[in-house]
Amino acid sequence: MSSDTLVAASSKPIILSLLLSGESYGYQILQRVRRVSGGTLKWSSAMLYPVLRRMEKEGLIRSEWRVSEENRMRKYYHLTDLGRKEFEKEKARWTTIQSALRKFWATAAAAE
Amino acid sequence: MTMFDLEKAIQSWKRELAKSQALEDSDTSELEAALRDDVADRIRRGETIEEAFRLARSEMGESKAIGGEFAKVRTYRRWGGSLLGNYMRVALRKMRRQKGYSVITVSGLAVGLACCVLMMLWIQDELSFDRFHANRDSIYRLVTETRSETAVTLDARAPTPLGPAVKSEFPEVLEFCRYRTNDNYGIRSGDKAFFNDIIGIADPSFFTMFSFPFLKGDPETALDGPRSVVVTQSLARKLFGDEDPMGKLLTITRDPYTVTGVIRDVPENSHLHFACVIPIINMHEYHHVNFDNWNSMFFYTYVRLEPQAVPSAALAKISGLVAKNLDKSNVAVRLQPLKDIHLRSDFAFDLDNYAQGSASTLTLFSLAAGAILLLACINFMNLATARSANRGKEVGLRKVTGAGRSDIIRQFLGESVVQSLLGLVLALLLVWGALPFFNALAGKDLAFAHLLDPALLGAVLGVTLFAGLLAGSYPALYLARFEPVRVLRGTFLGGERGQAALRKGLIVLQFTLTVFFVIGTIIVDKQLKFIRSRNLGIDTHQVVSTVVRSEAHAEAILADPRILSASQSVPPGQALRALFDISWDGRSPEDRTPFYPVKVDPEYLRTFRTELVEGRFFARETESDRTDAVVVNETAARAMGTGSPLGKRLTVTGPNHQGMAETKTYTVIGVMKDFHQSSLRQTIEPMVFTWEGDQLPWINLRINPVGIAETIQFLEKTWKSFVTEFPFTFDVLDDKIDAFYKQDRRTRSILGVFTILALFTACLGLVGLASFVAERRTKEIGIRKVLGASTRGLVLMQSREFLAWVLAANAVAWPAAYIAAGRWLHGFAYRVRPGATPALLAAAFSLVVAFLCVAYKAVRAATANPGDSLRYE
Repeated sequence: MSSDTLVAASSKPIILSLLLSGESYGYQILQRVRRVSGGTLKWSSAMLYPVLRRMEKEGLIRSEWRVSEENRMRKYYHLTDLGRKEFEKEKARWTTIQSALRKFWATAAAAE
Repeated sequence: MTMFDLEKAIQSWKRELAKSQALEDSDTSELEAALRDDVADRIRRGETIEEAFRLARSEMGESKAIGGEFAKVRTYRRWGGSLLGNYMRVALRKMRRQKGYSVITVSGLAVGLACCVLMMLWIQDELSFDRFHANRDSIYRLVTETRSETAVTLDARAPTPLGPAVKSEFPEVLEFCRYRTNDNYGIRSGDKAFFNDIIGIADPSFFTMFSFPFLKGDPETALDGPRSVVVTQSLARKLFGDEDPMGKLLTITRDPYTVTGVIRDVPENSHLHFACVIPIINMHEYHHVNFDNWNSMFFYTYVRLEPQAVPSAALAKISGLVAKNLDKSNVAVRLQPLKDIHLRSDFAFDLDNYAQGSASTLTLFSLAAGAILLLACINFMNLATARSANRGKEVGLRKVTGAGRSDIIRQFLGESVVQSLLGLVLALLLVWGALPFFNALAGKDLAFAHLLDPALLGAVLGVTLFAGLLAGSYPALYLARFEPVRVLRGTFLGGERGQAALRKGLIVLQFTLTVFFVIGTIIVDKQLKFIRSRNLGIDTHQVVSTVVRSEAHAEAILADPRILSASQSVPPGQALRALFDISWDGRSPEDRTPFYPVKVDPEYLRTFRTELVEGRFFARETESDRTDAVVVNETAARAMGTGSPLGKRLTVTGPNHQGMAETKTYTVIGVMKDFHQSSLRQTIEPMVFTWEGDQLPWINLRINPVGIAETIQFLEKTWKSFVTEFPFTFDVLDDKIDAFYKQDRRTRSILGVFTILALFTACLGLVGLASFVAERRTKEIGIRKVLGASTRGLVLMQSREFLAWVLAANAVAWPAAYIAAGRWLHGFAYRVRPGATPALLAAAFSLVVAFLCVAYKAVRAATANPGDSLRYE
């Protein structure tokens, strides 16, 4: 299966989860995803920013230009209330899939 | 090795990124922030700046790919949102990114639209003339046309009894009114006196025929009393201050008149202008008018027809009446609609002479304004298609993401309309700023507020939209044709050749129009110089005309040595009475060519420096010259048949001092060389000079050219010692003659301004295209330079092609300009031969200007460091 599709599908829940702990900006999001995933997930800017646009359009996140401590302009994203609710839904969805998969794998292992 | 410049690298990366149409400015800024963060991190980890940038950039991905990803998110939103808002956003974004091209297209459109808006304001004003009269559609002026073998004489007036006769004979003529003006009667009330106000003289029907709103009094009866006067509000204020003017007495010439009505001031857009109106009956006393004399033309005659009446049928009847009273003569009358008087009159003497409009001039200027707008639209098309290489990718991408052909066309048209709307905003600012200047140039009083008129506003918006659609049409259709696969693969350039040919064609068209303007302006200028330098046959330089009130007054003036000569006579430029019944032995009874009698004295010849071609002039010592002798001009001599007119007996029936028709027979003693006493547009009228000037109030003084101001002061002082009731006034005859060409001088100035604007717009386009070409050939130029080409050679190489187009434009423009100029010159009875100079001048001028535009860009391209240009891309 194309891992790209999965990566794309998972981008929304990952961004939601990431922003749950507080606001962040594009470059930081890329770095955190890489670090948390231990380098297994390598997102590109070309992928991230359009997703952020779409999520903003859907009202899940909101952005704001601010000057960072290093005196550089950055666009910070934070969750909206709708985003928080969406996070709960996404979490439930992925948990369901995950536990379902686990059960399948357990049966498969037992069958071997 | 040069130091790696991070800032420069980031800027160039950003520019590259900006080419992607899907990215908004905030997107690129955000990507830039991320790139900078990445670069900073890498440098912290110990990489060189250059390496850090290189890696961060490749990490970020190809700009095309980024744009593609963004485009996916954007597309649905773009077509879902407000269409106009979206066009606006995309157009503005595009303009910010390509400032140079945007400045060219928008400023060009702004100049073109500004010209159009000005012209529309002007046309609106010209068309508003005389439209405020309630009966505007059924009022006509009766004008006279006399055809003889040698000439056609047009007179805006009609035989004196014609008005009353048509009203009493034909039921469809509801009303008639005769009118003329005088501006040297003098008006007095108490100690206040004015000499230069225009006094209207009219039949009592004047205020029922024309709708001048009354503030006080009754329009029906105001002019019924022979010594009644209707004054305008401002004259009333001038004479009586805040007092009620009704019933007050004022003195006109020497007679008391009673104010019977007050009207609002005459609006600017009226061909009738006056400060007050007195009844026509007084003309019998002041000018010896015989109201029964069919053979005299002294008044402008207006008739009001029944609304259902057919003008041609009425005219046929009126013509029959004229023929009956003038014995089947060569005199014919015409009905001129009131609405045509301002714009379509071409008479030697007319009421509106100084503010007269001209329909053909107006058409000329409208075409010029339209042409400038067309030039601006061409700039837009040219630059848009020239840059289609960039936009092609956008179109391809958009098509891939699901946009249809019509979506693309709409998008591009929308963008060009947005640009033209922006141009309109700029244009309105331009108009607002230029209006005072334009008013001075055109002798108009146009106000910016007139633009609020809904019809005009609609027209302005219509023209703007039309220009936007026109400018966007070709690029839109052209770009919408692109096939995405080929475009994205980079092979779409196949159609380039045909497109380049079109661009060349458009440049040629632009310069054709420009050269046309340049030639036109030069020829108009030449004609006007010709007119003023042409020997008019009469010398009005340093001649002033003033009024004498008594013999003693005249003697006091003449005693001064600064007065070189003085003549009591009708000065040139006056509307002369036209007489039909002048006859001589052998005159055909059908020939009723009007003759224009001029009252002069023996000093006329010396004062005006006119010449005799035959015979002699009046002599003081020959007392019988006063009663027996007449001098005719060459035109009159020709009208009298072949052979010398000397010794011929001329019978003139004219009004005598008592206003009675008096028939006198004179002997022709001399022939005066023809001179122009009005505009050179008109042929010279047949004139008859008689020695009767002594009774006239006017005296024409040829004064010493040294110390003119002191002489005028002396005249004023003398005036004051003889005349107490009126202030001193005088006319400089040169100014009066110049006034006949005022309209032509305006034509020249405005045409000159339009020419400059057209040239400016065409050059803008040329600069844009030249810079585009230079950009495209950067590499080629770099390689040529490396191979040893000189800067000069490179500039010539780039300019040659452009110059060839301009030459081609010249070839097209010459015949067109000469034909058009020929038609304009045809309006003058005496005209210059244009010759080849205007064409050669225009060619030289256009080539030099075009070369400068192209060379500016070419020199920059040619002097660039080939190292830089070859590294480009």
